[in-house]
Amino acid sequence: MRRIQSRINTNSSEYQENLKANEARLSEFHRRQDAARHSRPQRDLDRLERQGKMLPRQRLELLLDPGTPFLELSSLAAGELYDGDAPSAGCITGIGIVSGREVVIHANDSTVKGGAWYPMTIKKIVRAMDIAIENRLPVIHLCDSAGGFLPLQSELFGDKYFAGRIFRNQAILSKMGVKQLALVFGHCTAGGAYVPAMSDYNVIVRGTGAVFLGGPPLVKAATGEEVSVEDLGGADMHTSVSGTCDYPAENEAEAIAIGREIVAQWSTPKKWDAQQQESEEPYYDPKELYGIIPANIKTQFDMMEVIARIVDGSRFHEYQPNYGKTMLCGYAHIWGYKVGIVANNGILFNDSSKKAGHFIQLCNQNKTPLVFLQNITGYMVGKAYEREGITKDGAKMIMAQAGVDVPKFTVMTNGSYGAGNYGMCGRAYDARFLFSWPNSEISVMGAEQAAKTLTTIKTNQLLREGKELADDEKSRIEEEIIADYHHKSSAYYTSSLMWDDGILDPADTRNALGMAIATSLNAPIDDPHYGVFRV
Amino acid sequence: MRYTFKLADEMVEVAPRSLANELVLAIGDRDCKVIFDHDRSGACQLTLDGRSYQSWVARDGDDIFLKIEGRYFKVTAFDPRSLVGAAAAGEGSIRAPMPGVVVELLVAEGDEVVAGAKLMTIESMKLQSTVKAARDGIVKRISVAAGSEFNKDDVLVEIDGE
Amino acid sequence: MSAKRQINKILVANRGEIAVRILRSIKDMGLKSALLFHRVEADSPSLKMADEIYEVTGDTPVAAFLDIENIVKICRDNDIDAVHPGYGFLSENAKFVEALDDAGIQFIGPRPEVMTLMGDKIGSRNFVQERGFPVAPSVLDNGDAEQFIARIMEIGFPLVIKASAGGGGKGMQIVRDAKGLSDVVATAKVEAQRYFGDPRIYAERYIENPRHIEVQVLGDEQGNCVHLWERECSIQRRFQKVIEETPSPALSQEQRQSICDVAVGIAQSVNYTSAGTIEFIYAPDGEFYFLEMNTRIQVEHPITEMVTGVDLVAEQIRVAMGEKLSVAQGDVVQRGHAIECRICAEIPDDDFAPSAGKVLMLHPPVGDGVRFDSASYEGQKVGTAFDSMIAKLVVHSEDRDAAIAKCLVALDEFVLLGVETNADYIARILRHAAFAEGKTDTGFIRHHAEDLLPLAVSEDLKTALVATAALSDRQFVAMMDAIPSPYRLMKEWRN
Repeated sequence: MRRIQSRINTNSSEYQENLKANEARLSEFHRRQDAARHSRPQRDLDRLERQGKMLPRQRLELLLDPGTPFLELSSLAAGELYDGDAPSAGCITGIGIVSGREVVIHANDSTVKGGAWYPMTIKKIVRAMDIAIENRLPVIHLCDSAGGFLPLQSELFGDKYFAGRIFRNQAILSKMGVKQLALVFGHCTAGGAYVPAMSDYNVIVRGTGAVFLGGPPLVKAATGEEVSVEDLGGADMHTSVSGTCDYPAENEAEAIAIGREIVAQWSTPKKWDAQQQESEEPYYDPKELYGIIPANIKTQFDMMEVIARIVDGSRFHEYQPNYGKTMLCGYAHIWGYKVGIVANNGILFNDSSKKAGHFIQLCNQNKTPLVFLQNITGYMVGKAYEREGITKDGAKMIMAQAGVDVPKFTVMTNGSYGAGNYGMCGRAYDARFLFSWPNSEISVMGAEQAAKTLTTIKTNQLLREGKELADDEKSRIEEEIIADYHHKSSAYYTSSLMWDDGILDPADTRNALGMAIATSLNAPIDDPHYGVFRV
Repeated sequence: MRYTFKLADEMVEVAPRSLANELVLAIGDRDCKVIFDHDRSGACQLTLDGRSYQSWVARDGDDIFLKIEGRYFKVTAFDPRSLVGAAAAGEGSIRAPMPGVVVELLVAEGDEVVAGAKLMTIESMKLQSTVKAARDGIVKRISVAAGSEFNKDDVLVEIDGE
Repeated sequence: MSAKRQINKILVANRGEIAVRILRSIKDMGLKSALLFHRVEADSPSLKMADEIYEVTGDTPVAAFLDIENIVKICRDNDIDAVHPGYGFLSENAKFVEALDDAGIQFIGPRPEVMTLMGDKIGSRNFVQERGFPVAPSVLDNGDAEQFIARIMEIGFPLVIKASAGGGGKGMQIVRDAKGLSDVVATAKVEAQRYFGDPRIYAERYIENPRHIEVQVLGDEQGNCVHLWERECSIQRRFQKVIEETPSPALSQEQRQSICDVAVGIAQSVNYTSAGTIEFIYAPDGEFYFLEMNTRIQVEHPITEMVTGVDLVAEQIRVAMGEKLSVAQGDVVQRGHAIECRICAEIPDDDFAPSAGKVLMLHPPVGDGVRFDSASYEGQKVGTAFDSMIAKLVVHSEDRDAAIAKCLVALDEFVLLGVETNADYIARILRHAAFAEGKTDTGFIRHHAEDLLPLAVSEDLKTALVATAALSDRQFVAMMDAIPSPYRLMKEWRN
């Protein structure tokens, strides 16, 4: 494969301007992420120390194989919800290596409201377990949760993808033969009690770990029975009497050591034999992405330059280099794994849509995983394009993309608007993993377009009521709408709602995709079969 | 996960930082480039940041015995489980694991016993088994005699520990 | 002149390295061998060296080797003609010799009456003194404490109070002035009774910073008696020898001749037969005094063999057969210098506390002039059943400096893993400037204690040894090997 020839001049004013903007964006991203991970009320930290508990991230670091990566998911989930009371949605999820096996880790964060489950916590856990199901990854639950966050119970209990889904997914995983281990560090009350109970293996820490449907206060209220935590659901009771738990541990470190030993007993699944070669670092420095991603979201940039900073050796085999040039398609390797790349380099026209649809099918037939790099304002509109069948061609592309059996991975590199989001494998299209860059935005249409539309509607409404808006009033409303719109289409807002699996520093994209691809190959890839294309 | 090795009274954490073409180990606070070779005889050759060390190594469980630069050392691979788990004192009261009959008493009241010491032989469902002390201590009370029957969870022996 | 005795099969009533050593000479002489063993050492490869082996039992493993009745029975039942007792155990037990005599079995060693005479500290001392050989001024407790103390005062200070039946430093008390002397005497009597079942004690001039010099002698029933020169065994800890050498760096040729002549004189005065050692206290002023006689083969006999080329055990057997010594005094020449190190399972930095464990790796040093006497083997469990000595490393070279250098090389080559030993510590002594200068006395280890502490482990060495340990640890390596390929390259990446 030939190396991409970069045309970036790192000394250009454009590059320097982008760099400045992106460095500011990155420091904001890291500030938010650090706060979500580490900033906690002192009293919660004190409580943990009093209980002799480790911080969830300390547990995590002890659990993981040394010298191995951890791909954290949705670190800014719930970041813009609940007045910021549930940073990271009160739990850590991600993919890591434990005793040489790729596993999904789900860790309650008891420094956030005692690890209580907010609605977003549940969404995050369910998503992590969906990832486990889709990619057949064993799950390790690090349990330390007070249970559902009662003030918001109506938003987390009863619906299909609410709390019950966690245990449903546990059962499905088990049925699929995918292993689960729960390490009980703290209390697992009510629904939380089922997490260890439904895991294939579990370890419980003596003294701090407890599993029960109702804690002592609830038992007292319900039946008048007075019972201690230890007698009701402590390590000794559950490992010697009820058999609910398997291994007692003297402390958290021991529980983790036992857990690692348990995982070491599991068979190592044979991975799907993707075309793999020895990996090569990109020729161009991924950090140069900071000078390529535009300061202004509306500024066009060459996605080839982005690809050059993600793939092995910056090498790319371009498909149909002369046709449908607003769509970049081709083969490359990421961490040695062969992938097909579908990347936007402008508006989707009829030819670029057809090119993408065709290439997606080629990859599906070749069982080559697909990477979508989104920067899309949408499918072209207008009389000429409709006559040419832009809707039909867009539908073909969506049909091809939605129907593939190979694993898909999506990165929101900049804008993602309208149906372009669909065609390029947006969240609704079951990308195995979807990541956003801090600068990226998602919305049905561009902010200014939308603001104009909304202002017009508002003006007309007022007119009907016999009121007329002054021009400055009009522009004030427009600005307000634009600000709100930008906010709600920003990566922080959408990531807070978990429209993605997390925001990435662009320079981390290569590693994140590498881990995502490697883990996805734990699931077999079906033979291709498709729906009906409107040709 | 950090692996901890105990050298005399010092704990040193070791973790691989890079397992790529060259092995980099974080040893304590230091990142070291390491090349390691050993043969079946236990002769080892370590190159650490360019410096070469010859050694002889033999293992016995978690204990690693080395002779390096003419000096002898013992390093223990430290399992966090050994911290408390193994050392935790067992119960002083020994209860019958199942109903049965005492075949033979192997200790008397006032005897000093160590954890694991055989206390009595019992028989249940035609199967004889030995009841052992769960901790060090002195036999305070034996609640049964040879030939006496007992039920599940009956206290057979009480051991006074410290 | 005594008649020749037919000896076909010899029982080695011992274990460990000395058993192996004796078996080697028996084999060399073309005789049949038998060996005792206790079940704690049933898997020792040294048992394979003997033609026959016999298990001994007892309350303790040591007791098994002290069971005279049983050992005599084993001899009687199995056509054993002679018994070599080695050192320790029954080697200086006259009752054992008498029991063997009664059963018509030859004891390889001196006659029981000589053993009894020389085995008694006071008796031998008096005997030697009466015959005009030098002994340190001393007084014997005659039961009258006041009189005893008055006589002690005549000797002058410092002095040492010992149990008559004692040995190995037990029950010894050094007294530097008259203060509290009566208490010391009283305590010493009680202790003598407790340790040795005999309350008799005596006081003796205490020589400060003495050397321990001993002379190897051999006598036969034909009345020949030769010395095989001296050995210096000043490097001691807890009154146990650690390093022995010959010749002694302290002696001039005249002094050497004079001390060896005295030794032969003493041996001849008791008509000594077989191998024996006469131990002297050698004072810094060059005076020397008879200390005691060991009527057996000594642990440190190999250095004498190295410099003289005489097989002492073979000579003992020859004498037991009623034959003449194979060497005359004129044949016994000291060639070069020999050093022996006693490698023991002990922790020198913890006051020489015994260590235990399993021998996991044992690489004996080899080469010209290197002798490694040991019965240790990989897989051996070293415990407290017997004494702590694992091996004797003996080197022989042209002179003392070369011997020290060779010994250090051999110690470097020697590997024993699994049980802590004093090997490092011995190397530290050998490297010490005072040792190199031959400034050795029995207080060497005490005086140089600080110099003999282990060097601090440098950070580099610590890192290297932890790295080696980690990369030799099965779990650690398995963990690294299990990590799939892309993750090895990504290292500890976090997003």
